[in-house]
Parts: sequence; structure tokens; C-alpha cells
Amino acid sequence: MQQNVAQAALSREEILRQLQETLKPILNVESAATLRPEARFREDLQGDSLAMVDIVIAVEEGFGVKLRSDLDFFDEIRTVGDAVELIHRQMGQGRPAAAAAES
Amino acid sequence: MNVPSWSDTGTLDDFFVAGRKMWPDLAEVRRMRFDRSLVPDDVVRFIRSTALNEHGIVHYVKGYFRSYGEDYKLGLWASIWGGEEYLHSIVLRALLEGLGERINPPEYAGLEKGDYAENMERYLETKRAGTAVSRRTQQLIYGVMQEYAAVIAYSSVADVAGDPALARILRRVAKDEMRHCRFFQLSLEALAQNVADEEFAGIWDMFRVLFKDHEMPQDQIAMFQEFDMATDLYIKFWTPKYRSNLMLFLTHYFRKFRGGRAALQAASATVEADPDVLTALAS
Repeated sequence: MQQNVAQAALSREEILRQLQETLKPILNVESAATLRPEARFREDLQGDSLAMVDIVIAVEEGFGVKLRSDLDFFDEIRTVGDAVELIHRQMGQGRPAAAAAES
Repeated sequence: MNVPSWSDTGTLDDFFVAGRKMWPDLAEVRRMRFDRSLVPDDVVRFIRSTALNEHGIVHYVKGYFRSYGEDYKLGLWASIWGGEEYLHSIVLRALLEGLGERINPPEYAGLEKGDYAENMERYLETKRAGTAVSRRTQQLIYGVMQEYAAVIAYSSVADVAGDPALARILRRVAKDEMRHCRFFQLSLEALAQNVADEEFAGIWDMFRVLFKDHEMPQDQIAMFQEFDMATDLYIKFWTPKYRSNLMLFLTHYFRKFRGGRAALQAASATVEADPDVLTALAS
């Protein structure tokens, strides 16, 4: 997994690029181009429940954010683009997600 | 068996004493009557299934003893846990009777002669093959996962139970299961500090292996499938929010083992479990 990046906000394009590289082995995808923003994790990329676990780790450890335990993951992070937006929003706020216990 | 899980009985004592105070109103619960017209048929089937499942503790406790080997204190926990789950069986049977139904003799017979031991052995050993994780550690990992799945199961059914009094009882059972989850967490963390580095490093991977195509204990007893009361019945109540919470809770918890023992000790200083989150998820 990637090392935690600094909490300074990255651009959406940079987040997408980094996320694509991290997701390639998780979703068994050869080309980052397959992981376009509109690609749906389950329907288009065949992400199973285990892949979702690895995506959570990729997002949290790769970008230093924390997903809320009451997040509706399967509804709010349907696509690669959704993940980028969530990461961008939380990095821009400079803090982990609200209402989550510290790990 | 070369390392202990618990060095003393303190935590066990605390859990046992607290457990003795559970359900002081059991007599009242057994007299409760519910409006059957408000309660969906699948909810009644769920309660029937869980009443039987909780009655199946002999199978499960035997399985724990096999997994824990010579770890005496975990054996004590298996005994305590069995008693508390049997209490759930009494509560759930009371709920069924309050709905005008009873467990039928063929259901008891099917459960009591169940084929759990061989099936569960095969399931766990298949998942453990080629890893450095001991059966004991694996069982504790599975226990954390299974108990939280039970929290989700009872909570999600409470949302759609229809009768508010019935829903309240189901949520109380969910809280009890969270207690059990917490004990498995504490036991795993205590044991993890003493196992070899290679085994410690395997805990996160074992969680992933068990999470993929996870099988609940009742999946190993044919009767539940035969009577159409198996896992499919449980998970049909799991809205996307509950599925998400299950995945996030377990991922956040087992992630603590990714950073080594010092990171685990630091992380364990705070309690990850937040049952009130489940209240917020209730529709």
C-alpha cells in the first residue's frame, strides 16, 4: 500500500491517478484507463466484498483519511469518481471523517 | 500451546459478573404478547431460526474447545458464552410464544443431531491451510466477525419487526452480541501480544480470508437449509447501510493488526465499537 501522503489537499486529477495505481491490483485490472471515474466498482469492475475491504484500506492509508463507520459505502462510493470526490473533500477539509472512532 | 491468552481471570470475571445481571426482567419477557398482524412472516422465521441457533450452543461450545486446545481461560469463556447464548435461546423462544408460535420437535431433533463438527472443522482448516495462524487465533478472529454479524442481524430485523416491543427486545439481544464481540476482540488482542511475529503478521490476512465468502455457524448444520432458515434468511434484512457498517467496522478493527504490536497497543486504547452507530442506521 502507498505511504500516507501529506494532509495538504491534492487535486482531483492527482488523487485519481494515485487511486488508479492502487486499485489496479485490488481489482485485477491491467490498465489504469479501465478505472475511469464513471466505472462502477461492483457492476463494471466486479469488485466483491473483499475488494471493498481493500478499497477502504487503499483510501484510508493511501490518502490519510478515515471513512465514517455510518457511511453508506455501497451507495456513496459506487464509482471510482465517487471515491475521488470523497477523498478530495476530506483532504481539503484537512481532517478525518466526522463521527468515527479513532483507530 | 506455547503462549497464554489471558494471564489472569480479571477480564473473565468482569464479563461473567456483568453477564449474571443480563435480563433481570426475563419473567416479564416470557409473559409478553405481541401483535402478530404487525410482524412480517420473515421476521417470525428469523426469530425461529435464531432461537434454534442459540439452542445449538453444544455444537458451538464443543467447537470452541477444539479450537482453544489447552487454553484453560478461553475454555472458561466458552462455557460462559454458552450460558449467555442459551439465555438468548430462552428469550427468543419467549418471543416466538408471544407471537403464538413454538419450536417444533423435528426442528429440535434436526439441530441436536446436527453435523456441525465435521463441517466447521473442514471450513476452518481450509481457510487456515498454508498460513502461520493457529487454530486458536483463527477462532478468535472468526468470533469477532461472527458476533458483529449477529449484532447486524438482530439490529436489522428490529428495524422491520413491526411491533415496537418486539423490536426493543431484539435490540437488547443485539447489544448482548456486541458484548460478546468485545470479549473476542480483547482476547485476540491479549493473545496477539504473545504469539510469534509470523502469526501476528498473519492476522490481517486471516480476516480477509474469512471475510471472503464468509460462512456463518448455522451454515454448517444441514437442518437450517432444510427448513429454509439459513443465512439467506438473515442477510435479506441487511440494507446497504448495514452491509456497509459490517464491512467498515470489521475492516477498521482488523486494520489495527497491520501496523505491528506497538500500533495495536496504541489503537486498543480506544474502543472501536460504537453500538449507537447502529441506532443511527435504523430506518
